[in-house]
Amino acid sequence: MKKKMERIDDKLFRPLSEAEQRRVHGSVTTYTAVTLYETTTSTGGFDSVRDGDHE
Amino acid sequence: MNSPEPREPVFQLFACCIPVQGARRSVICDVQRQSFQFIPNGLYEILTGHAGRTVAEIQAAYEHEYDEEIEEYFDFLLRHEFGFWCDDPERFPPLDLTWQAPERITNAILDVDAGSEHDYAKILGELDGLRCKALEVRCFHGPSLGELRAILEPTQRGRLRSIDLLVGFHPELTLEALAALAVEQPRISSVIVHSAPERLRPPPSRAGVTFEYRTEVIGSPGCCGRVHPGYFVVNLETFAEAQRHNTCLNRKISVDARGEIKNCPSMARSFGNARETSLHAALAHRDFAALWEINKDRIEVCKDCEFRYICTDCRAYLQDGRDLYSKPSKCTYDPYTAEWLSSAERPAFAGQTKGECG
Repeated sequence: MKKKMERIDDKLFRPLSEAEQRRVHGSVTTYTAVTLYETTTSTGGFDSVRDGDHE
Repeated sequence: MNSPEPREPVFQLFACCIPVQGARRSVICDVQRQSFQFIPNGLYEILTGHAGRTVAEIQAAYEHEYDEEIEEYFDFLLRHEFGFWCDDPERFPPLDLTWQAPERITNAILDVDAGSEHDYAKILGELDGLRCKALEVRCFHGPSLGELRAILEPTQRGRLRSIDLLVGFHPELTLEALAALAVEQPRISSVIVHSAPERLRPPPSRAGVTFEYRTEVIGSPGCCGRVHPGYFVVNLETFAEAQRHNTCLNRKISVDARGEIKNCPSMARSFGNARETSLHAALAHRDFAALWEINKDRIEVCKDCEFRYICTDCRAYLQDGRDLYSKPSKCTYDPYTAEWLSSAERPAFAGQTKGECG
């Protein structure tokens, strides 16, 4: 069944604000290793080196 | 002889911009720019079910009922740089989302409190033997600088790439002292000090280490497991891993404050105490890796959520504690209405100590 085409400017599709993405205070959430590494290394991008790049 | 009419170009998403459908709305995850954008499920249908078709063909497929909306969709996609017009979409194959890692364990949690009697050299040596590359040390008490140094000393050598520290406040843990510690221990990538007298968040150090002082008490593993947009991770590694694995527990091993070896310190099941059992032996238990394969597509409610490949999940605190495939109890998002419940409507969960964790 074809879907109803909703307007892209509907508030349902607006990006989350900074405040909505701010982490909840007083809680911790652990990530996988790669996540930890990727998100805490600000140089992630084309010039970053990963396992296996030079193998 | 007439040459064939040139075909209209078709819209092609960049390979790093991957649409994910939810029950009420969809998202495009841009795993290169590490961001996501909401889109209507109708646009998801166009991008997946009508890929390779011209706009005119798509508008005709919807019997011209939504011509204006469809044009707006493509304007939106171009404006946000999610793709481009081209004549040869077959030259732009999708990303291979196969996830592999050479390490038997990629990440670990080590919990410490004032009563812990860990043999740090043994635990960290065994983690190194498993090729673990990321470690989170969570001190629920306020360790002195000397105690913190003693915990970290065995990590000086080995293959760890990052150490994230969560420690309670101690008068010796000044910003200057922690910055010096991070210079001594270049594997430290972040330090959060909880129970601090005042909130402080200085700019990251020149090496990129982040420091944060929080006034909230993080006094037990029960503070973990919250699902919130602030914890979403939009990158290729996590997105690919999430296709088949649990984004929290996959290749993870934990040692709780009492030394019990677990998948996660918040879980009840122990695979032995680190004083008598090696991490290798615990990992060899046939049940240890069972939770690693519970991806979001297998979890009730989450399987209908547009965030399922960027969410970090939690298998410790569940809405139905008897069902391993139950939604995380600390997630307040309803993918069927696309709404986050207010804190008043938030379901209660076990394991949270009163007065902690905000």
